[in-house]
Amino acid sequence: MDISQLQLDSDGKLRHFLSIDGLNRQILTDILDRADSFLDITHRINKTVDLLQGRTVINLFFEASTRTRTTFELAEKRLSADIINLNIATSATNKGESLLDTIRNLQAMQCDMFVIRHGMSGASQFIAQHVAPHVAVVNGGDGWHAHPSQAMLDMYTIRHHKKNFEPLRVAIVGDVMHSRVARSQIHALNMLGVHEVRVIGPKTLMPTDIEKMGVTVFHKIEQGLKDVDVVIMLRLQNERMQGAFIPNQAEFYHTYGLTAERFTLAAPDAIVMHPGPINRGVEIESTVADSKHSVILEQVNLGIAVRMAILAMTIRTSGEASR
Amino acid sequence: MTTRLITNAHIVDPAQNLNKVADLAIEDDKILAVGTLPESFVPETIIDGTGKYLFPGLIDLAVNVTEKNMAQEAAVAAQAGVTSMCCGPTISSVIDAVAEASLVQKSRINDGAKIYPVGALSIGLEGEKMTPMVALKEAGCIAFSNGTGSIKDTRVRRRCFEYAASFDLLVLIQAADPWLAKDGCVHEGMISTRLGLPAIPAEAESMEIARCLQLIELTGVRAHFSKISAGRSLDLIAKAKAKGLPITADVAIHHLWLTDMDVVDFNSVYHVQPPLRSSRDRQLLREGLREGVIDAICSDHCPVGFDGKMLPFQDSVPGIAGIETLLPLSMRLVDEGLLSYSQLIEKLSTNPAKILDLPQGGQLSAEQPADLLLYDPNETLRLTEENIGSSGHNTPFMHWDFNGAVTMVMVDGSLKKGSLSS
Repeated sequence: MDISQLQLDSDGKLRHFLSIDGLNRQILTDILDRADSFLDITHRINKTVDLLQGRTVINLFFEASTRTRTTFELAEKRLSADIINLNIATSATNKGESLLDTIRNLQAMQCDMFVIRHGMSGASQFIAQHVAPHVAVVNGGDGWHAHPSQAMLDMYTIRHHKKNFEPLRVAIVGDVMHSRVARSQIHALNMLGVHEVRVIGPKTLMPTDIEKMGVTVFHKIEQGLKDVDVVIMLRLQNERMQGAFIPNQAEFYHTYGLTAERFTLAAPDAIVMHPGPINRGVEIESTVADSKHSVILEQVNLGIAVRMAILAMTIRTSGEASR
Repeated sequence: MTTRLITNAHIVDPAQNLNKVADLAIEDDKILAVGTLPESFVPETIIDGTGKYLFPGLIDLAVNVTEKNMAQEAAVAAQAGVTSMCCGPTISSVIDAVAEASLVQKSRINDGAKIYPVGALSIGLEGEKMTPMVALKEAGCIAFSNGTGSIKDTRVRRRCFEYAASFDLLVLIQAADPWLAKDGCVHEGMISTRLGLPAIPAEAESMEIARCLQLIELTGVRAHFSKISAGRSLDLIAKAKAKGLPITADVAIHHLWLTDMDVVDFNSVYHVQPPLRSSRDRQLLREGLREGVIDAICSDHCPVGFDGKMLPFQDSVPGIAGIETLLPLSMRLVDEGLLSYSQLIEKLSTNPAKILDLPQGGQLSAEQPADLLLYDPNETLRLTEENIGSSGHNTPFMHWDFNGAVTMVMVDGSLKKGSLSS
């Protein structure tokens, strides 16, 4: 089924939250506005509301995750949901059969929502196509395909600092090829109407025809950073640094590391973001990561409000839940 | 002795340059005469072919079956007008020993299409040691291939080609550079980038073809490139043919209709190897077919069970169950004006018989086996979950409406579809 049909109901409201692709500017803005209303709550002493009271959310993680899982869990707790956390390591054989069987078994426990992370691109969409009508699926990251909640919290962080998306130049630096975060960010930035999205990295880390997603490609970071308002550094995974995609860490830092010197090429009030966890001295110099321009830790906190918004907007309301 | 007469059918047989309304007489398992019948001939049964086309039975160069579903798929093939099919080798059924080839031969005693086993080029398809090709040929193998995997060691590959060439054995090649294609499941391009799926560039195919062509020239082996998917492969093949190399090529029917755009919803039914490529590739494949760079169309029939496809795209088993739509989709190429009936039958029967160097088959002349079909252009066909015959329901062409349908099929004069009541 078409990804937008799967994600939106006939009234244009969220049914599942799987990918930024297939959503629209209004929905993205609604999520950001809704996050605003939850941000106040996170500053109160009593941080819970009862929007998801009596509802069961299962966090189903087939891949390791620290911050995505914990911030989803916190968001769920603050919405008063009942939570089950399942970390399932995928076995090499027969993993698929167990995937649908796992889903059906959990569904039989009358759960209302799955938050899913899976190593295969399209896994969340696949699961969304096979869950019962009363169950909503939220993608917590699938393969190299999408990580839409991360992208939304990044958009939220950008809006928090820059107010208006239209005039912005945004640069995404590093391993775009293997990054679900980058793909979701590119969709979201273009949907929200930024002036320019740039991707910076060597050809080995750039997927074919990436320009067709609405970005400008730079291989030299000095050119790509010029006058940008937002710099998003991507995480480079250890296994990709061993000579297959780039020669080594030192060479990567030499060519693409965000040093204080390079950062001066960006606009004077530019912000630096990173989905974490950061590799200091590999992608980013500590003085930049810890500078006033860095919003990396803030991203984590804002992420809770954004994930609360996504959960609240995606869960079926009681009327729809009746079977 | 059984005698039958098909009257007044529009006979299309490119092998004899025949394209006219005529009668065809059958005696037992053989064609007795076409056009002018012997005066003494008295048919026991008359089949009225008025308004219908009479084609030689289709010869499918690529069918993937296992021992378990072989009989069923051969029966389904016959129902669809395919009277001969080449099978294997696949990872699950490697034919690298004489006993296994004999086993496949035994399965020829079935109620469907004739099965021609394709032997493995290397033991276990591992690309290290060559198989006893001559003994396998004597046990019934029609050709040799290394399946979907290539022989990485080019020295081993050269020797396999040389050995095959020594005995004039045909080698089938599904070209994919093992490193460029590694772990890939879709065509490399805008779609793979959007979906974040590991991709296979078109060059994985064309580079491998270029390497093979050099070895073909060096060794003189007769080679056939299977399931060409990339437009840029066609230049290489055309140039090599012009140079006089003993090569031929086919395309899988789904590559003439589908593109990587179809994968956009992660629908695993579109997961095939080689992957569906760009619309530009599809256009070039069609042109290559018309211009004769591509000699044949195969189904690459690959029934996959429900569980094999009920998986995230990357994990799903590649393949389309395509034998029942081989002729219907091919006929659409005629409807669209790409090929004439005669050119189409060349691609589906005449040329495959030539490529395989079959002593018989692929034509409708006297003394040939009565492998044939009647096609009614006024019938219609729609494949549904209820009427699909294959053990695999993995076809993206389910519920497509086709003009025209096969109404009668014979294999060695024995009726596989239709009735004699008319």
